[in-house]
Amino acid sequence: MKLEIKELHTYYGASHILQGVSLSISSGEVVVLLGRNGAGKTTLLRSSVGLTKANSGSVLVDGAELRGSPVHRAPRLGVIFVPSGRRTFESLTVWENLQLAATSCPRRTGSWNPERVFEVFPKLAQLAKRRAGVLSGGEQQMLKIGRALVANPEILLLDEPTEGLAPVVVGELGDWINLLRQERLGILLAEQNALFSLEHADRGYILEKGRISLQGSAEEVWVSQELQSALGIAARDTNDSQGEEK
Amino acid sequence: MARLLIELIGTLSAASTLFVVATGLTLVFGAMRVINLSHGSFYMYGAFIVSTLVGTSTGARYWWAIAVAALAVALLGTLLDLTVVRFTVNRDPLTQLLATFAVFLILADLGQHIWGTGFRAVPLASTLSGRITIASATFPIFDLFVIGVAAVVGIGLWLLLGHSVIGWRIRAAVDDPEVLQAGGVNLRRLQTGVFTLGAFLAGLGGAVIAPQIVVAPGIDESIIVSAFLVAVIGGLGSVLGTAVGALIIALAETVGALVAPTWASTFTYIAVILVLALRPWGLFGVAER
Repeated sequence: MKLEIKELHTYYGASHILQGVSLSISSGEVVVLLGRNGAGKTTLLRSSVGLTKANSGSVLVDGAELRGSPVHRAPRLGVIFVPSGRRTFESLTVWENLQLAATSCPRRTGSWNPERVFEVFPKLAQLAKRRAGVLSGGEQQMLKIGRALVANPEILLLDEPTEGLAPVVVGELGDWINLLRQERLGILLAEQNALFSLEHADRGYILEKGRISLQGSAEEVWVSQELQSALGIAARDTNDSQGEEK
Repeated sequence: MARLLIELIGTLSAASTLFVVATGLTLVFGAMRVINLSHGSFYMYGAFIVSTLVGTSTGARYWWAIAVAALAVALLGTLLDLTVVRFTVNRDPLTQLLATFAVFLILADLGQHIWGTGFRAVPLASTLSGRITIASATFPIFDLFVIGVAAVVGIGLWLLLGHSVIGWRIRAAVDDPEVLQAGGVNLRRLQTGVFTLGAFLAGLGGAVIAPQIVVAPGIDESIIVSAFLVAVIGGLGSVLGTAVGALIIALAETVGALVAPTWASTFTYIAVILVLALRPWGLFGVAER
C-alpha cells in the first residue's frame, strides 16, 4: 500500500500552516518527519486522515482520494493515526479499549487481535481490567499502538511517540517499530527526537514552517545542514510552544 | 412508619420518571456535547400519543400504546437529528441552544395543532389501577409499576454501556470522539443512534406517566426544567449521577410538600444550590478539559 500526500495546504483561520507539503510512505518502510514545535507535523498527520480539513491538495491511498472523506474512512482503508499524549478512552478498561478498536474496522482482516497484542505487550495483559485513564505514559503508548494494530492497518501515522517517555521505554518503542517493519507495516514517525527516529528510519523529511525543506535517506538527513537549522536549536529552545500543534 | 413508607414509594416513583427522562438528556450531552432544549417535547409527545391511542377506553390499550408512543418519538428523534441537530454538533453552545429552542417552539405549536390546547386524562389500565398493601402500608400499584420501568431502563443502560461494544463506543465518544473516528467508527451514525435513544427514553417517560398526569400543552416546559436540574446535579453525562440526582430532586420535592407546601419548589432549588456549591460539575460529573 502507498500513501501519497501531494501539495497539501491547510489553514487555521488566517494562518497558513501547511504550505504545499508532498510526502509518501509505503508498506514496509519507516519514514520520519522531523520538525520543531509549530512546524506543522501534527497538522500534516491530522490533515492526512481528515481530522483537520485541508484546503487543497491530495491525500491518496493506492490512488484513491481520501481528502474530503469522513474521518473513519482512512482507518477502514488501512491508514491509522495515533495521536500524541494521553489519548486513550480513559473510562474504559484496557481490554475494552482493544476490543472496541478491534471491532471498529470490521472488514479489515489480519493477524492482529487483542490476544496477540497481549502477547507482544505482556504488560497490557496484566493491566487488562484496569481503566486506561490510570495507566502510566509508557503503558498508554503501548495501548495506543495496540489499539491501532488490532484494526490491522497497513500504514501507521505516529505523532510524537517518544514524547514524555522514559529512556528505557523509548528503547522498547524502537523494538516495537522494528517488529512492525518486519510485518510489512509502513510507519510514519512525526518526531523532534532526531537521534531516536533516524536510527530506526529508512527515509526522512524535514518540515520547516509548513514546507518540506529536505528529504532523503536517513543518513542524508542525519548529516544535513537542514537538520542542524531545523532541530539543532529547537532541541534546546523551550520558549517555542505556540500551541499550534493541538 | 407506614406513612414514611408511603412517602418513600411516592418519592421513588417521582424520581423514576425524572430518571428515565433526564438520562436521555445526559446521554445526548455526553456523547454529542449537545444541550437539547427540545428534550421535553419528546416527553410531551409520548404522553399525547398515549392519550390518543388509549382514548376514553378502559385503558386496556395502555400497554401497547406505551410501546408505539416511545418508538414513534424515537423516530421523531432520528428525524430531528438528521435535519437539525447534526448541524449543531461541534458548534458553540449558544447556537445549540437557539437551534434546539426553535425545535422546542415548533414542536409545541405542532402539538397544539394536532392535539389542541385542552387537557386530557388517560384512564389507567385495570391491572394497574388498584392498590396494594405491604407491611400495613397501602400504595398505588401504578407507583410500583413506574419504579419497575425505571429499574428496567437503569439495568438496560448498565448492560448497554458497560457490557456491549456499542455502549463502549458511546462512552469512548464521551472520552475522545476524535480518536474514536480515527479508529474507524462512524461517529455521526453513532450520534444519530444516541440521539434516537435519548428521544426514546423521554418518549417512554411521557408515555408511562401519562395516566398519572394532566396531559396538556406546557408539560414539555415543566419537565425540561426538572430534567435539567437532575442532569446537572448528577453531572451531565453520567447515568449513575442522573439516578442519584433524580432521587435528590424528588426527595426535596417530597420534603418541601410535607414541611412547607407553599414553598415546595424552593426546597428543590436549595438542594440544587447545595450540590453545585460543593461540586460545581455535579455529583458524578467531570470538569471539562
